[in-house]
Amino acid sequence: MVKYINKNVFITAFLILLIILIIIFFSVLAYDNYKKSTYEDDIKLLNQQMILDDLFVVYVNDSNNTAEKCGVLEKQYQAEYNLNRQLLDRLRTINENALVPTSNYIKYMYVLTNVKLWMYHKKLNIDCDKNKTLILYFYSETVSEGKLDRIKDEQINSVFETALNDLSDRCDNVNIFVLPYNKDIIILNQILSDYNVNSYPAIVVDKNVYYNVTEIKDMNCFN
Amino acid sequence: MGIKYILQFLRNKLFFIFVFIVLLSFILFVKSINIYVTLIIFGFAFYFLILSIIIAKKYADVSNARPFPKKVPTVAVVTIAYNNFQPIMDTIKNIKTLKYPIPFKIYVITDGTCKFLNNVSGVKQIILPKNFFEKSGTNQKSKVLNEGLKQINEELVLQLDGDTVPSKDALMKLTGTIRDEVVMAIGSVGVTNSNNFLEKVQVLEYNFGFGFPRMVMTAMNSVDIGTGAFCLFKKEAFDEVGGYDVNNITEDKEITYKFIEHGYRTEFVIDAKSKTEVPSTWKSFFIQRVRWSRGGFDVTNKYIHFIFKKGLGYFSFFFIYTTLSLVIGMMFVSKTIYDIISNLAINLYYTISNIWIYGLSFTDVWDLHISFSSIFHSFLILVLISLAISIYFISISFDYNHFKMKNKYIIPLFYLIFVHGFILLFIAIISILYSLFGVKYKW
Repeated sequence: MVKYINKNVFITAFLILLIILIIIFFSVLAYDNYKKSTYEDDIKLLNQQMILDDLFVVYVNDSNNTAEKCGVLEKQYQAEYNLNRQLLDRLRTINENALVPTSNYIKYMYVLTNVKLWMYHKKLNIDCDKNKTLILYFYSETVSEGKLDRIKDEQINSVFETALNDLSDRCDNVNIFVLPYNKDIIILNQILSDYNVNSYPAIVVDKNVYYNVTEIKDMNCFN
Repeated sequence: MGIKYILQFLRNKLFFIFVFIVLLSFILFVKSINIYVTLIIFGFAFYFLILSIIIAKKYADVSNARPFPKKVPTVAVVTIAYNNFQPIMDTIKNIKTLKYPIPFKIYVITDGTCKFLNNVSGVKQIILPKNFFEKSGTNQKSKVLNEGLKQINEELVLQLDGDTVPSKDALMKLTGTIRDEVVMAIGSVGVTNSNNFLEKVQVLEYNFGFGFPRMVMTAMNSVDIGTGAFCLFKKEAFDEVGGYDVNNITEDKEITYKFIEHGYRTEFVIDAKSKTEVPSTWKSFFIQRVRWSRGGFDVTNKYIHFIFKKGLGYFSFFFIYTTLSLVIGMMFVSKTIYDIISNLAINLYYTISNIWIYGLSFTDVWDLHISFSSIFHSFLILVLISLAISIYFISISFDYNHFKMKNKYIIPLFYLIFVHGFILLFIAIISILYSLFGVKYKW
């Protein structure tokens, strides 16, 4: 029998392959973690600001000057609100481009900070007699990636978000808090049940739930 | 009777049914592929590349021409001509230029209509009844060759297609390879026509294919593609295995499997050069490749039992590995095609329905929501790495074949690297479907 190669060639090739795969795996992981870490830093910043808010609340409570107290808090909350909107955009981009699926931790962090912000704004409305209209927007979300359902969701969300952006542009006194329709997150489940939100996408304005885009389209600014 | 027929049908279509089910399941049920599965799949593909590169470095001379045997074997050079085929004269002229230490006979298998051959010196006609040349069954070329070769008693047969031009020393270079259990030697085939884009692509493809990959196959004792257009084989072994399979469209591939089954081997000789004409239009290219692909799958289907057969040496590994690689490749291509079509269809459906319901002002027509679950999306880094290795792989092959890159081949090379594999896998998918649903072969 004519023979050319021996078994060692197969083993050598396997070992080289193993080394290449290990390098690729850790490179991909490191690259992905680098991308995620910038987002996590932002979340940390937001949390830090919220701690600062608590401090502000305690501090200004000592002060009898309500106007000063409310002015400071409003500025602070608005800045955090803007930052959180940016975070949402970045979270969506990271989710789309991630080689390794984005961890639930980041998503939970985003949801929790956003809910917390919404509650701060509610409190601000009551304590400082502000008339900001707070809108909770529950977008539809497919849990597993790669499904065509996700495209359907994105298409449906897209129309809803166009209408909401239009509303936000028209009305200065509107703050929109974007949250996934996800009953697995306890606080979200609680809010969904409190406001009787049964479907998605949906918005909640002053305890009223809207499921139809045309209703948002026709909405006047809230005064 | 009924059950027997169904069982026979299932056996005949076993491989095609299996691949079809795999592809369909992959398309419908696999929604996403995580990084770990991706790494395993790419690892699977990388392994053969790495193995090939090691073999190329370590056993670089494996496909060089071997010393000419001390006892010169008798040779018959055989080609086919029918229906008053005039260009056969050029083929004969080329054959006559072949160097060989002793005189060799030239046989032209004809249907008797090539009267001009009667006056050509040194050429013997093997005239077969016309019905041998009429299209019936799957492969009439096999029938003609099987019948024609019965009249040949030389030790070796050099088989040449009418449009193949061998180099003068090709026969000498191939002869030394026939030894021990190596009963078939295939030469390197180049391209004669290189005018348009498709022809240039095939120039590169042939220079790649008839180089490094076949050399690696030789080193692994696993050459499973005989080149019907240009090959030398031992007549005794040919007769022993029963000649070409008349029911297989790629008889040259099928016979290498027969040889393997009988303990024989085929080897590739890079120094034995020849040139042939390749399809000039996409239509003829597509028809040719579907035919080759279907024939190849028919062979896989026929010899699927090789998976469990002992005593085949490295060929068992090679057979399983290449078949699996092909199936995995088809899985990814079919999934990608499905993703593209379904993504576009869903986007189109929702865009139109959104415009219908809410009007243009709330619908961004160009806002496509693409969600590719296969290679395009998240595997970019791995795709780039595999491309880099592929380019290296191709460059080694060109080097091995002494092919010099010219400017006119740069764009075809890009196409070859980035697109051609996808096209060939697409053709493979079409071939599976054609064979499964019994579509007739086309020429």
